[in-house]
Amino acid sequence: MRFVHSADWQIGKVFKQFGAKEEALRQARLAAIERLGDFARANGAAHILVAGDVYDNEAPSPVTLRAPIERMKRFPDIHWHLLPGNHDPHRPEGLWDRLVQLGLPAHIHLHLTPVPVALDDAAFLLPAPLTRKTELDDITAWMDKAPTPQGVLRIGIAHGSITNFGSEGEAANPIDPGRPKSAGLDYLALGDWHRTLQVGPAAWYAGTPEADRPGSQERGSALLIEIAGAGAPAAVTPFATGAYRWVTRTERLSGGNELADLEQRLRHEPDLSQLILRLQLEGTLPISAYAELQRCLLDLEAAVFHLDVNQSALAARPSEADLEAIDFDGVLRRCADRLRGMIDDPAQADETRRSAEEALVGLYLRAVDSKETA
Amino acid sequence: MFIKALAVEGIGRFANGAHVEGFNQGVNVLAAGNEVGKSTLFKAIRTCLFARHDSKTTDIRELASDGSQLPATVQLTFEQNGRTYVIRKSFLRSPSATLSEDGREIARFKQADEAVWDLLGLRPGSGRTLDNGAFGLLWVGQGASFAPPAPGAAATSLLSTAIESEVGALVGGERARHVFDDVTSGLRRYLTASEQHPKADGPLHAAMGNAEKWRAAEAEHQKKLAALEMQFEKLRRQRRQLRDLTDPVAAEQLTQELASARNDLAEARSAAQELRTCEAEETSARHGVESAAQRLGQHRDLIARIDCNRQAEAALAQELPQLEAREQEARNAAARTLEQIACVKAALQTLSTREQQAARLDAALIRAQRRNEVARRLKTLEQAAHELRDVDARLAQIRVKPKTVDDLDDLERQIASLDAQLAAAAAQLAIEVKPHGAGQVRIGGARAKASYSAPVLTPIRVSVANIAEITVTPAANARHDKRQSLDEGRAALLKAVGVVSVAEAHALLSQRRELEATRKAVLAQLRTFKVSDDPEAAIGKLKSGLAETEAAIAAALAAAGRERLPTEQELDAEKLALGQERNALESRRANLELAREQQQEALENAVEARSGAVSKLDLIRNRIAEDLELCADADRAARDAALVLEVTRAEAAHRTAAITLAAMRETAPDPAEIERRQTRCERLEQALANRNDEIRQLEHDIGRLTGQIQAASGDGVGEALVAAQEQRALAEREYARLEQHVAALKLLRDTVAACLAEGREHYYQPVRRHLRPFLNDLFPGCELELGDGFAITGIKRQRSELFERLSDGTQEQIAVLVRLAMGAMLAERGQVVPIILDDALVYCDDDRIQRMFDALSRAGKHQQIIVLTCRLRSFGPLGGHTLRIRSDCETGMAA
Repeated sequence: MRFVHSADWQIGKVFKQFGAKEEALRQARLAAIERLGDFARANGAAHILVAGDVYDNEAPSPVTLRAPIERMKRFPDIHWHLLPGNHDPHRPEGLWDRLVQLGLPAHIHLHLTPVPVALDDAAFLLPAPLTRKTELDDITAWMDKAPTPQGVLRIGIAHGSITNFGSEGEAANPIDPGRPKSAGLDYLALGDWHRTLQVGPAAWYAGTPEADRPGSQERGSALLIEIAGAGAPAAVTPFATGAYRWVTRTERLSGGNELADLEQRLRHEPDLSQLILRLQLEGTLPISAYAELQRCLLDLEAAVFHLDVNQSALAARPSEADLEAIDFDGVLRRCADRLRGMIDDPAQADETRRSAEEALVGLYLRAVDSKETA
Repeated sequence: MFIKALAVEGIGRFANGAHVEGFNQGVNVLAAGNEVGKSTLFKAIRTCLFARHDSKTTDIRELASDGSQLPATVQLTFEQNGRTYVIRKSFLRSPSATLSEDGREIARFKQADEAVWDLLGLRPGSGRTLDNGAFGLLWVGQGASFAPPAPGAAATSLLSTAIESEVGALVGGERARHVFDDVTSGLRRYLTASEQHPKADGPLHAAMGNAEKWRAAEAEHQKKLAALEMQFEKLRRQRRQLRDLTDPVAAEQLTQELASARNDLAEARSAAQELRTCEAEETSARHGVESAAQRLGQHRDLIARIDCNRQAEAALAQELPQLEAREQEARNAAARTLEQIACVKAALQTLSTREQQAARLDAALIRAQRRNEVARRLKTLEQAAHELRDVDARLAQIRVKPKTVDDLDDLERQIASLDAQLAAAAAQLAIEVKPHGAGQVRIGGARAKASYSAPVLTPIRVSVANIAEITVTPAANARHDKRQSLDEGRAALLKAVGVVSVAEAHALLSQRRELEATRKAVLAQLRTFKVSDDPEAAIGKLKSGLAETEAAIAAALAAAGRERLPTEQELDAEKLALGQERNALESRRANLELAREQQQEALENAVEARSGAVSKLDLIRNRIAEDLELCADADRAARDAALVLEVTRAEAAHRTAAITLAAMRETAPDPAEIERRQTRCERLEQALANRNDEIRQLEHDIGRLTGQIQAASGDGVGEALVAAQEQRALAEREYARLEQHVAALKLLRDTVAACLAEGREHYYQPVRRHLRPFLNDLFPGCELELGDGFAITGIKRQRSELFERLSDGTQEQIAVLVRLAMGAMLAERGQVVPIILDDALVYCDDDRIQRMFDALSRAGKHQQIIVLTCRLRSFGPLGGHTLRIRSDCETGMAA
């Protein structure tokens, strides 16, 4: 038995911070479905299990609702098994009923009730759909007593957090890590964590097929599962499905000379045009270097798909050269000295010191500009 | 520079040439009235120094004298750097320029123009413009003294040079101003001019609006989503409720309960029906017993009634003759009483006739009393009528009337007046008779007394014994004619009324008035008798009434059969006797009437008793007959026995029915039980109906909720909410970033401004040092606040005051003082430039102008001050050197 395990498509997720590029990311999540289909077809997997959170929201727009269905329709030879998750729980007249009312093709299966479903003669799927965002009880408990014919594969599919296993998961829906054993499962396909993760001998989180946040899954992926027969171990093979890479880098700067190295390092990242880079900058820079950094960041922003720079931990401190660049003496120099005094004064409020820092940078840029103009 | 002399020709009103005398060091005052040409001279100095000789600008054209055929010529003599220069320029016609130094011409034409500028340290600008430097600053034209000094580039350079030689340059001031302007301009993009609020079309305002917009959108979507959540929850509850309601086991149980309850009710109702039948039978049997007993009772009552009626019939038959006798007796008594009443009525009729006669006699007696009164009145009337006729006859004989007498009196007065006038105008005849001539002198025939004196109104004849006859005749006079006319008029009036003198006329008029008074009295007497002017008619009427009265009295006597009228006492006695007789008769008749009514009532009672007895007897006899028809005396016993048997049988049947009913009551359900079963049935039926209604309602509600949820979900409200949340967060971050940016801009702007102000404060110290004594003259303790480019921004006394908020007078005074200070500062640095004030210090009060004069005098110690004013008296105390304008017609213009 060979099948694909995916989860957390979260179709319809919004990316407003990306502005005009938002639509590209939304489309990428739909394109990931096609890559899943292509991969399954290429690897002889007749079933793709989606372990919850097919949609990002339980009240999506009509277009969002239909979009993944239309992508799956392109693979009529593949059986798509969709499970409600905490983002899209099954509630009467909710989105799953809307989908049913749309009239789904036969190869798209919605698992809305906890009853065993035969995948084929040799395997049964035991789904644990969520009917609300938060369940206090383990919804996979029923699997322990779920009847299936003797000698068939028992494959569980659920969306939730393995108990006592960290807190990265979104929902509080608890799942007993011993469920595969207690329910005699050959494999438990899990969803909720946006990261490919094995949580037991036969229990895996597939991760999302298209990464969607910094500090989590860098690139979208899914799992190819192969099980020889009932009781046999599952062979799990992760494969990439995502188009965009979500990379977070923290860089510490202490002088202008490091800027070139930083730029080089970042420019050597693969697929810059598909890179969503979150850059945490720390340290202290002279104002001249700070101004140069801003120009450098502008270049980098143009090179990558999206650049998100956090400079809250990066301080601009005027060097003597910066101050001389403003003026050796006179009004502007006094002004610069005064602002520097405010920046260096620990008695000043943080907000005031930040304002003084920005003011000093502004003064520097203006003073330099006026000199150049002169 | 020190101006020593000025001469003009063809300039303004000085077409024939004039020059100003008296220039000196220190304060110079040219005080002259309006339109003398002071301002023209001021313009002439400026034009001579700063304009090219071949310039034909509008100012120069306006400066030239109207219609003058001569060139507009200005010649200025001044001292500079220890040398004396004379610059002479002719404009418009034959333009020319020459410059002499210590009497030696050193330049002509264009070179002369520019040589002067070199001397004064001026530089021509681009084209033909000239920045006149300190002169522009210190020479204040008419009406310009109010404006604060605004140094041009050259003046600024001069001032800066002077300052920097003392305190050094203001380093970076210009760049700082650029930065300040740039930052301020940047702030203007974000904030309003007051910087209190974001600028309406600025990015900060837009960011704020954007954040607000997305907050509202988020709230809206949140609300919709919450509503959707509630609908989901409600739908879940309703579906569970529907599931419970449509549970087939519960439904079957309810149906069975209802069927069982209905069976129980039917059984109870059947038993109740049987019980009602038994009750009806028992009631019927009881009614049978009662009916038989009633018939037996009726039979026995009939027998008793017949016997009783027979006894009553016998008693009535015995009583009837007594009643008939009593009736007849009552009738007889009533007839007797009626006869007595008729007798009394006849007596009353006779008495009424007698009373009428007495009343007629009473009336006749009253008439007789009135007849005497009428006779007395008739006599009085007749006397008054006679007197009236007599007075009228006497009045007819008197013709004198009041008007006639008035006319006569008037004539008398005229005549007397005329006589007095004639006497006054006439000659006076005076005769003194000596004792021995006594009796020998006669005047008008009368012997003259010892002394005679009278006016001569008519010819008077005086005879003296026989010695002489003297006739004195008055002179002719027009008044004599008038006197004659008046005499004739008086005589005619007297004749017309038949008297001979005015006195007689007066007497007759008095007699007439007395007669008229008498007549009025008679008429008044007649009016008291209500008689008008014709008393004869009233007399006739009285006589007629008297005759009628006599006739009436006679008729009354005849009717009473008497020959004379009784006296009042007699008549009253008769009337009293008649009254007593009437009272007695009336009393008797009333008693008889009462008796008659009582007898009538007794008769009616007797009749009623007799007829009642007859009727009752007939009734009893009829009843007896009727009762015998029902039961003859012979059938009495047989019928009684039959009825007794019938009662016995009915009582036996009733006992049987009562036993059956009691047995049935023992077993049948009571009404409360039936009602309980009925209620249970109804309750179960209601429950079933309610359940069905509830199911229908729930199905309806679920359908509606489903539609609402589908609609809300179909709108993508969840997706829209997440989008709005992200948009809101983005907008808020952007707003915070812009706020931070604005705060940084403000801080930079304020810091630059503060540093700039400090630098400027230091830079302006020399100006302040020179200004302080001048300012102290007028405004002790006051400090000037200077902005960029030596601009006066305000003054600081107890507090800062904006320059433009000061009064016009104070503004002008400060502007002049600043000029004096700047001039002093330049003079100290060797740039001695005269200060010229044309028509300045317009709004100074008496105290301030004295202080201004002090300040001008102070400035005059270091440089030349030229004051042009039209206020001769006010500027008298200024002192200084007096400048005078001299016409060249007197002295000739210096060549």
